[in-house]
Amino acid sequence: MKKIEAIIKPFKLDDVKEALTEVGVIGMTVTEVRGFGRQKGHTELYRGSEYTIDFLPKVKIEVVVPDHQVEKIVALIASAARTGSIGDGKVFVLPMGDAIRIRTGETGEAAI
Amino acid sequence: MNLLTAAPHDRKALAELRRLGFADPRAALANLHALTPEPRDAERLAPLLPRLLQALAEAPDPDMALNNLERLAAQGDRVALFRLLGSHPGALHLIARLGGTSQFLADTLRRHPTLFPWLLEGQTMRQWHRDELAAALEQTTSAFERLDARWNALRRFKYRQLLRIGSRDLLGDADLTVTTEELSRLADVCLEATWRWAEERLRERFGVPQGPDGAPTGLAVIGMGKLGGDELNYSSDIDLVFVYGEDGETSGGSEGRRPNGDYFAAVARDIVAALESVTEEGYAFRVDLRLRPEGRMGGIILSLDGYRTYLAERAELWERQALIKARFSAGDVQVANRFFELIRPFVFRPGLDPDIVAAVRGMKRQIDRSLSGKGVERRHVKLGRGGIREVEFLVQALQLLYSGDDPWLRERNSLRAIFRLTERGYLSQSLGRFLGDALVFLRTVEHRLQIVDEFQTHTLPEDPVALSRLARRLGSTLPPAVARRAFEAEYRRVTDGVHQAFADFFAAPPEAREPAFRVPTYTALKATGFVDPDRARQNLRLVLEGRPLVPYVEPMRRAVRAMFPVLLDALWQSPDPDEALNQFERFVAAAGPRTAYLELLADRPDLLTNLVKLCARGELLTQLLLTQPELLNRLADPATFAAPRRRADFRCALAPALASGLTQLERMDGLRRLKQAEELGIIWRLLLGVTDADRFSREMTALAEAALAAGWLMALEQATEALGVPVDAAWRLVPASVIGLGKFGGRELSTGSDLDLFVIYGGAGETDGPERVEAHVFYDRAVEALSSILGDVTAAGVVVPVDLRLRPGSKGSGFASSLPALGQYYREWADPWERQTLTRARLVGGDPRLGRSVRRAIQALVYGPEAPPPDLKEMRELRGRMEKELGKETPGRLHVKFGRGGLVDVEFITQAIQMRHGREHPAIRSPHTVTALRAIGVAGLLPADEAAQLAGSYRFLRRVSADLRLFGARPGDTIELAGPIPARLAKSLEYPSRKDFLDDYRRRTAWVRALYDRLVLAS
Repeated sequence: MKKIEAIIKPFKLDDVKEALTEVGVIGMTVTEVRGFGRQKGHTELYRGSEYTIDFLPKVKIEVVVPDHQVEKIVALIASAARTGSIGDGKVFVLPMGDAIRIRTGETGEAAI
Repeated sequence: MNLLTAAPHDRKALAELRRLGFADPRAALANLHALTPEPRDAERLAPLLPRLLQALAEAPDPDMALNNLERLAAQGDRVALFRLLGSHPGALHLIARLGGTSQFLADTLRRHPTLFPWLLEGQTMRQWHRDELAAALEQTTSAFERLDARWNALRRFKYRQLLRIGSRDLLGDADLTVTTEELSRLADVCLEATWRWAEERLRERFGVPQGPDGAPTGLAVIGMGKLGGDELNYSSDIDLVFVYGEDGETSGGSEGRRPNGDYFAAVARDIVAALESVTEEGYAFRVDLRLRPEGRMGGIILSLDGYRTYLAERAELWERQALIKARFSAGDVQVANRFFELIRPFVFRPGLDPDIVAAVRGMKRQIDRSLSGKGVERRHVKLGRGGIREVEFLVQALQLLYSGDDPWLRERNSLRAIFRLTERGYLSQSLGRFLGDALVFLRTVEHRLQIVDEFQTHTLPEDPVALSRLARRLGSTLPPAVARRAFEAEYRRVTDGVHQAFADFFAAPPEAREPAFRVPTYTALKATGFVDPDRARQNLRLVLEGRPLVPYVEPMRRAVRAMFPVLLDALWQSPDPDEALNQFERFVAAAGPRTAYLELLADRPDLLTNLVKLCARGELLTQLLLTQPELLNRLADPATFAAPRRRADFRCALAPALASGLTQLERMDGLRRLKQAEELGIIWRLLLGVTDADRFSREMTALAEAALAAGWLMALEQATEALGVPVDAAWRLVPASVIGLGKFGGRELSTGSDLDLFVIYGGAGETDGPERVEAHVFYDRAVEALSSILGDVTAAGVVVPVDLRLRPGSKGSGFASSLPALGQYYREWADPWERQTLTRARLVGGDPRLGRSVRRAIQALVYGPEAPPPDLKEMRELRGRMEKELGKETPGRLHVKFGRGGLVDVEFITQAIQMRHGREHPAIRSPHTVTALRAIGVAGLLPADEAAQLAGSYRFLRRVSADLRLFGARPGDTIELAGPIPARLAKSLEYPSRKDFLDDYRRRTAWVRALYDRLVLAS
């Protein structure tokens, strides 16, 4: 069991959601976040006027999946979120101790 | 005062909101409260509230903008939204514009709130080109395997792009043209993707569709209507036609084979389903297939052949009109190109189609009827009085009338078509500008009407409030009521102007103030030599009054009146008045409303008389003037016919075609146009008697040599680019020379002659390119390129056809020979007649040093000690066959070239003497028949008077042959005694009568034949 965290461009959220639904991942947590990676601290031109990029709006997706699905799902997210330009985001894979479904008390993979 | 914390009925707060322009301050205040449900939200929004209110106040509809903002905020994370609004310099303005203009775009954004940051990226907010759109769509959809997931991704992509395009439109970053073009590109790439998916899926099941010859064939998606014209709207349906290459069967797949028709119908259905089906993400495009042949009743696809048959047999005027806008959108581009080839002659017919005027009037009546029925009159932007349809109708009617003769007018986009019609003078400058502005205005109104709800509405709202909102959406920053009144006034001005232009277009031409010129009566025309007086009267009337629907402007009318008497005179004196008048009318129509040409003719009776002479020579010549009326200016220039032109002059004249920075096609077209212009000048000088027939041929030959030089340079460039430079073992260039034969060698070219030539290169070698090929491969390639550069028919016609059949070597061999191979071929394999052709060989281009070696080799082959004497028996047989198989003279038909006593007789006599005596008399070796004959007389090989008479007859026959070409006689070099040709020849060669000419012709040819019999036959 692993937790996958993906930081992606917001407009790619629907594509990623659709891709995950396609392989049966139904639950996920989505947060609007801000952050920066290598893009930070430069100026950008928007419709002719310059402004300084500080934090960029991003979306964070969190899903917990069984070990055997990890590789496939990471690849899926990467493919659906990719635009090829800077700022496409990152995918992190974290070990997961346990999971408990509150309503039933189920634990482990049965709870995800 | 803090609006965010004010009580719902706080008077000061409500007054403040009213002052800012909110029509319903109460609702606005409620919305502000809803926007900040928690105290912490209000704290976050407070710092940017003044800027927010300002942005909302500037929106076309502030209430709507605020309402939409509140709904967007409820959709996601307020903290993130407020942060973005506060930190990004463009965010407030964008959200207020979008939400305050277009409900449909605001709803789209609310459904996909994560698109907001994307719209705030600099990379997003610019014009995207087709390949970028296609790449982004591919990127997005390729992540999905299942069809329904792809369809969803396609729809999300479409809405995303709509938001981008709409935002740029609303912010004023893109004008109407760019916006509609981008919307059209969006549809194109969606079509391309769905076409690809459909083909992938169906190929797996049924294999590759193949034509009867087993070659794969494809489907083209043709955009029509607004899609074709790059004029798509936010809510437009897309008009499509599907056409496939050939009938046949698929190669077979997991489900066997299918007839191509079934296969492509399935592809088309798949495409339509992929676009139209409504999924949880909505639909992509609504497709309209009613413009296909037979409309709703026809099958949804048709093969090219099916189209051809349909167009030839069934199609109606509205279909021709619709096809003006046809454009390749997606699918197999080769099939699309063949489709356009196929429809071109059908849509754009040369000359004035008499049916069109009636049909166009019929279409106008239909418009009138549909209008009176609906009671929409003014307020309907599209169909109403002075609306878009009237502009488009006017434009397309002019296009149908005139683009047959003028390809420049074949333009799909209505706005560009207006520019082109203005440029050509079919619309006056002021009217053209007005109509262009009017179309942009009306289209923008239509856009702003539709951008609200993505409904296909075309009617202006009656409600004053709604109308003032529309005025603000159109960019007015005035208070609503003022904006509305200004808009109403402008709308009235534009539609009044359009309707006036539309009505004028159909109005009868104003009664002439001065008495009109009388068109001469039937009897008068008959008496002055017109064979078809009815047709002549009709033509004269057209010249006097202009073609229907485009009456002359006043200066034009004056010019026509001024030149009319001279025109009648010139016609009566011309060799063929009927033909002269036909062509002259076409010229006047093609010159169109460009008054300058007619004024020039009115000022210069001499020019007019000569032009009529030129017209009497038939279509071939006037076609040049029709496509390039500006050449008339050149003909009017004394310099054109003063000094004779030489090869160097022609080289300079053709040089611009080789300018750097031009594409291959531009160069080819340029060379054609420049060469034709020069050719017209040469013919002009012959007609005016400035040059005689000999001089004429020499100039035509010099022009051909200049064209050949330019073409050869381009050909070498092409071959070098592909293969590198050919070099020998010592890294020296392997050169090549071009040898002319036949008329080209003899400097006897006339209009329409082919260039007989072959190319000889130095010897063995290899190119230095990445792929080393032998010199003969390189020059084969170069000769092939030369033949296509000079001989291919492009939009601009041809330069001159190249004939390589007299080259050394068998028919299957390469196009170029090496110098050693040349000698070997003629010594060992060539027939005697092939050696005979070498008597007229002449160096015409390429490397001069090698050229001299080639000339020595050829002289040795024909006149050298080892050269056999002429085989007179073989010559007689050959000549006999030519006479029978090519001449085919009958009591009613003479053949100037192959007939008894014709040109070939003179040439054979000359060549026989050259081959027999050329070794001891080098002076007689000239490839130019007349020069050779003179030398033969001087050398005493023929009695001097006989030689002179033979040369005289030869000149006479050449002149007859050249005139026949100018008349466009078919088949070439043939005099049909029954037709009008003998009389025309008599007139142009200045014989008193037809009989005098024919008598002289018969006398001369009989004499030549007698000499031939004596010299060639008897020996």
